[in-house]
Amino acid sequence: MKYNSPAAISFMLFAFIACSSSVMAQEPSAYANDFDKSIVPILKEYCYDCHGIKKSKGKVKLTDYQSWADLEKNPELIEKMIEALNKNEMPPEEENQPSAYQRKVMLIELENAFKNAMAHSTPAAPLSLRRMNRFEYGNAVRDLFDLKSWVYSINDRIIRDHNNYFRPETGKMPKVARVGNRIMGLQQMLENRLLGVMAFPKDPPAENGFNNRGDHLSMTPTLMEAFLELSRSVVNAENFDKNCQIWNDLFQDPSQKPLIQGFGFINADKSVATHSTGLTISAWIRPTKVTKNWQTIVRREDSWRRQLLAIGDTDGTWGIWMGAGIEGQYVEFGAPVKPSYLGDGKWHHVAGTFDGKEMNLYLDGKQVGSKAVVGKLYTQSMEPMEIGSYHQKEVFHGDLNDVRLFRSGLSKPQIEEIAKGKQDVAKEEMVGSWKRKNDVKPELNQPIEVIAHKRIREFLLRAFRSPADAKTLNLYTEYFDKQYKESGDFTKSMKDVVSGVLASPRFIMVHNKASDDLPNHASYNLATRLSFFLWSSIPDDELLALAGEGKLQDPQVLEAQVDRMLNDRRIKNFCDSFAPQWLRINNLVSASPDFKTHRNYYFGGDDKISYKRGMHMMLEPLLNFETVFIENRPIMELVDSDFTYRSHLLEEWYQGRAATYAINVNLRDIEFTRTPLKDRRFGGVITTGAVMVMTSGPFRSLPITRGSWVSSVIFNDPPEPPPDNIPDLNADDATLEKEGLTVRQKLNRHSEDSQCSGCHQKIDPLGFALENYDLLGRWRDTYRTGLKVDASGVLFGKHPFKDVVGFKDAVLAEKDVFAKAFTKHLLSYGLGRELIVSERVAVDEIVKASESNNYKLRDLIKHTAVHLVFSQKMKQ
Amino acid sequence: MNQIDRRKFLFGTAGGVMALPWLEMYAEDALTKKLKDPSLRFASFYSPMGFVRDHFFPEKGNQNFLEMPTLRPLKKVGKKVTLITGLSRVNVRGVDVHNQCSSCYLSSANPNGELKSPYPMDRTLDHLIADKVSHRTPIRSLELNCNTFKDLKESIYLDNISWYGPEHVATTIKDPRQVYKRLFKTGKSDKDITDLILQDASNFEKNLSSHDKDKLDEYFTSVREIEKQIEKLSKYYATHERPDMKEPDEEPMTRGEYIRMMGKLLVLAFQGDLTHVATFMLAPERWGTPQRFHELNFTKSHHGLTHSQDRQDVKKALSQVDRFYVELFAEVLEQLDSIKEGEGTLLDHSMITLGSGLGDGKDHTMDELPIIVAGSANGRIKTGHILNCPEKTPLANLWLSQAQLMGTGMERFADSTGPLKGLLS
Repeated sequence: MKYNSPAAISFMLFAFIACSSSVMAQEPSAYANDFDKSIVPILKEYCYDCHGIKKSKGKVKLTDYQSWADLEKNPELIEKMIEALNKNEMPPEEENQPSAYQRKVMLIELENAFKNAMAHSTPAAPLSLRRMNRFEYGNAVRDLFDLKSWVYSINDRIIRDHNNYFRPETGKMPKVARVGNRIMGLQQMLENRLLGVMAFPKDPPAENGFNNRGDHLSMTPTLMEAFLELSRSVVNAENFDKNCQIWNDLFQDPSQKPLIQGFGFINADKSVATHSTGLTISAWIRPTKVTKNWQTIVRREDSWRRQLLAIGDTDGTWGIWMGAGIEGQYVEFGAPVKPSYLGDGKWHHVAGTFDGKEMNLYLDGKQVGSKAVVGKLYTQSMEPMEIGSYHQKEVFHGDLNDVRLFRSGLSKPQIEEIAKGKQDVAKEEMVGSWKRKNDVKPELNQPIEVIAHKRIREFLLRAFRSPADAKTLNLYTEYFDKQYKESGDFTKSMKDVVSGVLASPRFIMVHNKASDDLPNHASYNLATRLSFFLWSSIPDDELLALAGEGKLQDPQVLEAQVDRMLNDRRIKNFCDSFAPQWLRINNLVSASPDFKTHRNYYFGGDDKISYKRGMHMMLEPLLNFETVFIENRPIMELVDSDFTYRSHLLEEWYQGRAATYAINVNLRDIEFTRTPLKDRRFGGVITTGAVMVMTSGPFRSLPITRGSWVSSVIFNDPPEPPPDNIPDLNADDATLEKEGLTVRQKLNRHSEDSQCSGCHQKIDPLGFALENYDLLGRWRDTYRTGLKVDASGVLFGKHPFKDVVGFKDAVLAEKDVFAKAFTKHLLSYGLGRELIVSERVAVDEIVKASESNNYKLRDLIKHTAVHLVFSQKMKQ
Repeated sequence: MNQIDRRKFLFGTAGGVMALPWLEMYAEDALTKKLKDPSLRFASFYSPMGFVRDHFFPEKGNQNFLEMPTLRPLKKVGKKVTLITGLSRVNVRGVDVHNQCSSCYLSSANPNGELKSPYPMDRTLDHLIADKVSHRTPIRSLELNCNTFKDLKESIYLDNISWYGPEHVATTIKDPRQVYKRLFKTGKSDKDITDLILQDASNFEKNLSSHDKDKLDEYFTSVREIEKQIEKLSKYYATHERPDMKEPDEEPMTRGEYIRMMGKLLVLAFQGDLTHVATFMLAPERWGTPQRFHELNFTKSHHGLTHSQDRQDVKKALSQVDRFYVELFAEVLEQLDSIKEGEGTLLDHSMITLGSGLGDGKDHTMDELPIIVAGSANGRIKTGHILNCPEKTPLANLWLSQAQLMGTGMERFADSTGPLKGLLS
């Protein structure tokens, strides 16, 4: 071979590209001739034998293509060829191989052909109409009514967050996440939710896909019955009214006094409950009335261990009061303030802190009182912190704004900063905050129907994700009028309207094309696409407002919005939905290591088969995923990370120190701690106990299942279905011991069968790379038989590795392959359908855009969301 | 005239034939004064991954199928049961075989047609029949499914044999409490709201592409179907007693108790003429998850067992699973047979099939499918024998015969070559 130095090859390639593109531009016929000269000789030598006239394996018959034009009619095939060449899958190992140079020539030519093919093709397939799945429906209803509670309890959302660890806006995962596992844990479904509201059945995932796929989400009478029932049971739930934060703006009879609801709430968590060390409540207040009775600023109840900040009088001291359960007692402390000072009609800042040593009270940045109390916070309540009243008692008269709750006692300078109006003080310590959205607009002196119609119009915009046309609006307003005329009950009539809205296809069905006649319809469509992709829910007011102004498609606005959405806590819905499905983590629910032989997988007593270590294992890769997301780390850290989140039980397990007797641990609220890792055998998502256990059988690890998992999940290349007649491997422990073989040796014999070898060459090395993890996810050097584990292999025919660390290196060396594979998962999830071949171009562009910054997870999501494939006007 | 229009509105008519309203089913024939034939009930039971063959099919020439280990539980109703051999379905190569065998089982759709899904799917037999007979009953059809896997990790195709059409699944009910509710609670009609949303939907439709129109059509049909059902049920319960059955509670049940409960609900539905069409999945196809078979005292993956059935110990366990499902099927038949109706029993007025989409769970063949038909369909099916069909007789031939017996008037069914020879007496 003449050209064998890399420089010569790259020069040659450069010349080749330059030459072929200029030929293309000038002489189509000359370009067509190229097919015979450049590619046919290679095909003839290496491919036609199996994919030609004699044989056409895998239904691929390359001799059918006589010119580039022929081939360009079949972009799917071109893509297949590129994949096979890239990963050295073709020609098969045992056949003659083209030179590296020939391979590169083929790849460049095929890439060109693919681009040409795409130039003629339709750019994008439309998103089709589909119903919401049950996860989305629950989120959408919750957001629509700004509910304080969940709509229903479902295990689609696996992680239950007990310490509000998920705070994307901070860009940092806390060291400790206190979490529960809803699908494998116990008592995890007991949470604040609408009473008597039943979810419809969980939607199954698509084959190699997600559960938001349009073609699977159809409507049937049985489901419609559930939707109709939901449309009524949601608004009529006995605790709906007090959980609905838009009550006064929608359901409240305008001729009556508004329902006293307080102002809002902050979802508090364990970090300001049991055994935590501090608490700060900060608020801006403007009382209109100063009374002797207490007026609540923030409060939550827990018999005597309540937590609160209030103004009022006790035992002759009028002032600011703070209360909290500390160790075994309830401490209430007040600092005297002049009522006339607070009641002067101006805004004042008040704050109460407790840092484990003392309680301090502040007014307008100045300390007004201090009391020594030593101990830890102690409250069992998991209720939200109510603002402005508690259970509609001790109501605050006047205005409250910018209420913040912190998980530690802030210092004096920090309080001063807040009182000066600074926004990002101690952000990492913040549990939650609440701000007044708009000033309440009085609806006086207008006929009740006018008010109702206005409310309905605003509500329809949010529920249907675009302004209702006159006909639709009339339908619902007339319906209101009819109901109101009959009953004279405003609230009931409005609930009837809302029930109709919740059952309307315009609400239940998503990705409908907002009518072309509607101004800015493309913007509204985009708002819905974005919100269902990132929030699994309806767009919020800001997105709708921008859509209404036609600004959402402005690239800068769009980017800013996507950033905002990625920082919003609703992005948890994306992590809850995408990550477990991508990882197929539900397989762990049913993984059943034999209860007798592998008794230590079960940490409860003999009667507690549901106490599986998998309950903890499942959360590790999910928390690692969320860390990579929140901290915007390169997706390579999903493969190889220097940290991981583990519970105590899990840490012991990996270290081989796990208790062999039944243990009693808290199942509801498990503490996962960020653990630095030096040992590259652990961490990421692949080499976690969760993945290892769920790809094992009851008695042994299943390398082919593992290989298939890696191929499908990591490389987005699910193996073809196995042939119908699979010979039994006969690889149970007893047989293997008798034969003195390892599973690998046994399997090699099986894979030699030519019918099977094609696929097994591809998936086996991926599975055997993980063979050092036993069926319970622990490291082993040898099998039980004493035979040594052989985890060596070659990735894509080009990266040899000796063990799993070498395997990780090999995957990292192919990081663009992983990035593309991951992006395809992401885009398919975002679009709610299988990708079509032309969308490979979009995938390449998204990956390219994220490359310079090392494929960070948030970047990939962002570039997906802002890509034209999302925002362009779809062809119908 | 008004009366007829109203009826038409309530019950719909299929194929332009004005059918008998369902409350008059047992009316006497005006001329002969004899009781008309009781209405036929149709049910199709599905058991996944085939049965161990040599425990199910007797050797050639041996007619005594009731002595086969797997079929022995059918003995009590043996005279009313037919074992059919030789039926097969065309396997589309290159796609997942398990997905295909369940989702295509009841449509036997032509594999060479244009596919609107990865598998050749079509409207399934139960719905083609329901289109014709649902006017007789308050509930159009029942789709029952005894899949209790909590992981829900597998695809929709493995979990469903009943489809309205390609990619349009008929949602199954898995919770006995929900079946109970469907059968015995009337439901609340809210005409106001349904009128409102139907009106809204029809305005909505005007802006849709043709694909989206199809999706919306699912919505329309579903809303109308529910309305119809509520109306018919409340009318029904105005004149009928509810059966004496306790509402199922949340108490955990063994696998057997659970399937038995679902079976009992099906029997009650047929007995009370609440519906005449049902499908019943004893378990889903291929689920790779071990399952607790309390009655058999083991936890095993049914699918895993089928692949290692060459080993004697595995084969033994697998046969136990096979037999377990046949026992539960037999119990349903026995219950139907214990209910007198006119001159026969409910079983005599039924056509209940048990089958699988795989002939052999290990080799994944779709030839020689294991199929049992029980009930003589008002004396029209010859029972108590083995019907040996020539090799590779299309399964669709049996479906065609059943469709005809149920009065659909169909002359072809998918790739059928004609009604199944020898089925009728």
